[in-house]
Amino acid sequence: MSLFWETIQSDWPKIVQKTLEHVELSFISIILACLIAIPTGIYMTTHKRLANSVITVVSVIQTIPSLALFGFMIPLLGIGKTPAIVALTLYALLPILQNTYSGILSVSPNLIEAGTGMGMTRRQILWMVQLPIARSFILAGIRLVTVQTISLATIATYIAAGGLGDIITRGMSALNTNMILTGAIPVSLLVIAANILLYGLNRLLTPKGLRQQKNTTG
Amino acid sequence: MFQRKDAKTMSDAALEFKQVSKSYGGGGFVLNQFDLTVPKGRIVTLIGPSGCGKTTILKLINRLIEPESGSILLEGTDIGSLDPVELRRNIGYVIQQIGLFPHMTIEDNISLVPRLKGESKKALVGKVEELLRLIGLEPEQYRKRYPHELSGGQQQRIGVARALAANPSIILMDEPFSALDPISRIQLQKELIYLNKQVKKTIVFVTHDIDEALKIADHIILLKDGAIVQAASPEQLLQSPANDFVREFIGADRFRAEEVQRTAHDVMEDAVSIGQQASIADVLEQLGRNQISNLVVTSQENSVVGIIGFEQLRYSNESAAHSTRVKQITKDVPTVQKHTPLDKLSGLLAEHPIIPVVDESHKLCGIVTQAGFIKKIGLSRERGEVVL
Repeated sequence: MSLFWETIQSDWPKIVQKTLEHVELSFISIILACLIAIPTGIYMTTHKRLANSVITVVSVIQTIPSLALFGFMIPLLGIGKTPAIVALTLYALLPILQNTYSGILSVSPNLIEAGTGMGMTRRQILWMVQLPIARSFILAGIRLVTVQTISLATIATYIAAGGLGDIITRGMSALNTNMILTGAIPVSLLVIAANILLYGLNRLLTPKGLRQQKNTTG
Repeated sequence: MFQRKDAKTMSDAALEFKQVSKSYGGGGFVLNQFDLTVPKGRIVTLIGPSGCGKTTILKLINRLIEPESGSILLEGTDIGSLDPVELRRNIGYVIQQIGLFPHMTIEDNISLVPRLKGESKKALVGKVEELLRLIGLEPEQYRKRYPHELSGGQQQRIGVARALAANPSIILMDEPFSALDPISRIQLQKELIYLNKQVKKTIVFVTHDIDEALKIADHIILLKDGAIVQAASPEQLLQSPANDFVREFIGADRFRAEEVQRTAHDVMEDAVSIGQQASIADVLEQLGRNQISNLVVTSQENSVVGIIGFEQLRYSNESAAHSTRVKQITKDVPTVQKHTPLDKLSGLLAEHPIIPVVDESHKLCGIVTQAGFIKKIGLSRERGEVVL
């Protein structure tokens, strides 16, 4: 145990640096995934034929083993941060896309009809009705993706993208459990912190009228 | 329908359909060359069996559905020439499923249409309060609440208030009360009638419930297969149905009930009477034996002379009790006949505890008492009627 503390103390600057790298990788990937998946999800709700094929393609990406996906990136984009971010983004698409799509579709058609009949434009219906009601669905997708991306970013070390994976793999090759832990524990802490943060954000953003019951029919 | 004063007729009509046709898919027409005139400031119900086109007509008015041919005039303006979004903001719309936005407060729901039109939320505070009062909900208590905290009946009241918020001249209601429980439904029907006496909007009200139509409408338009079968006031519809379809739709039972109006005969009891010559002792004995408080006093020919009961006897003195015959008879008692309608009877009963029922030659047939009336009415009336 004392050895573990010594490792932390001696490696502290490195742990901090790798943690920041890790956060950077995850954060950029999640933001990119949101920027792609949320508008696509919204678009798909009005083009349902397209929806099936898009979801199928994105699901196929999800079935590729993570190590292999990072491997595929090397011939395409080489090594380093960029291919790692692309791979993580691709992985993050499905949950956000799926939740945006089904979240918006879960809004009762009655509300859409009421809105249209009252003279709301399609854009107003989207921003004033559909997105507020679907918001907790979308945020749930983002939360899932955050956890998943922070974990997966550990593997990015194999294509030299940095992050806490560097410490873990070094510890593994040196058969140094303490070193492995100094890499793995920050990953877990990051996941827990991000989860709590997003949970709080969801509570804060969910309109009061939707908190007690998930009733979208009115 | 009216005399040939076209210009005048046009300005009087809130809404006109001229030769409107609409078909769905390859099948036949939902509406074919359909004409309709809706007068201003009235509650007009569109009613008919499923598939008669009533909801289609409603949605044509706010252009949720576009016609294939023909024109629809809203206060003289062809709605086809208007921007649909602008048009809808000037038409109130209430749907069956209420359609309040669950993530918005009551205030935000009610003020939605004026806000869409660009008015600021602050400027609408007074308007929201006024509307909440109009529908009988205390503004301070309800303004900041959310729809799910309200009962179904209250939610639909908010739905009505929301439709009124932008001060439209016409309001469309698509079976607004049919998802509510019977008590709330009856309550809201009453309120709507009352409300429209104040706000005087043209209300086009779609329903499949003939009871509802008869209750609330100034004018009923009965539809079948996209054509008007009969357009009339509720009274006209009941008195002179155009054909067997109308008769059947309104319900054959109702006609029987309307024809055979309930009368005194239905609530009559056997009379206990006493001769004009009887003494007070006789009267008291009769009252005691029959456990009643009033007797009908009759002449020898069995015609009604008056009423005597404990009330009248109270003022007689003891010495007169045995010797003299009864003088304390109340003589100016109204009488009714067997065919006297119940509404007249109930008015009389409010003044008199007992009313003799007589035949044409003023001979006693029976009596109606307050207790007996209530008991018999209570047994035969439906719950819904009593609530009203």
